[in-house]
Amino acid sequence: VVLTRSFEEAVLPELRNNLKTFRFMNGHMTQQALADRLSVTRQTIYAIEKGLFNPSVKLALLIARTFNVSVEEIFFLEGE
Amino acid sequence: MMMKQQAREGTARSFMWLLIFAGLFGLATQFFTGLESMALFAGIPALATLVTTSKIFDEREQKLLDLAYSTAFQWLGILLFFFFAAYELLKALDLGRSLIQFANLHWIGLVFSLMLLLLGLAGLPLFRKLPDR
Repeated sequence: VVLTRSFEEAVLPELRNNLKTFRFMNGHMTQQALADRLSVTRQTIYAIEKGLFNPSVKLALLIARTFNVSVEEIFFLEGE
Repeated sequence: MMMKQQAREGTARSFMWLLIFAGLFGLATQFFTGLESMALFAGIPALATLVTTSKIFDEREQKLLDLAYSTAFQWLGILLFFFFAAYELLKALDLGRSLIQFANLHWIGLVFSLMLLLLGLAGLPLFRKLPDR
């Protein structure tokens, strides 16, 4: 049981993403292949896609660079 | 590189099991005279290995580890407060002398082992295995 919730979780709108779509648009890239290119675990890619984990700005930029798009094309706030 | 990544996926979860084992072992050794220091011999290497190895964790794993630390220390604080209150109450009522004596002799091993156990228990559900899709 986690006793505390972060300010981010409690107040800010949810972060959504099109990561899975971009993976499939880029030659059906697997989670593992993307994870290897970013030097993270496959579980981190899974967690980002499912909205279980919000990546840092640095990781978001690296993901966007991998697909040659801007960060906003992959990540957006709920309701936008 | 892929093999290294795949091997890394279970590392954090294995450490949580190691901490739980070290915590339980440490608590058990407190009941065997002469073996109390084994709690430190088992726990310190486990904790030190976690601290050094966690440097290879990626940012999600680091965040989960931070969350595990914070959850574990919150519960440790609550439990210590509860145990200390019980200790003072027993002392004031002059009850459970052997229990008080046991706490006086073994509090370092007990607190340290409890810390490891709570850290493992807090981290294990966080580092659960995630499916492929």
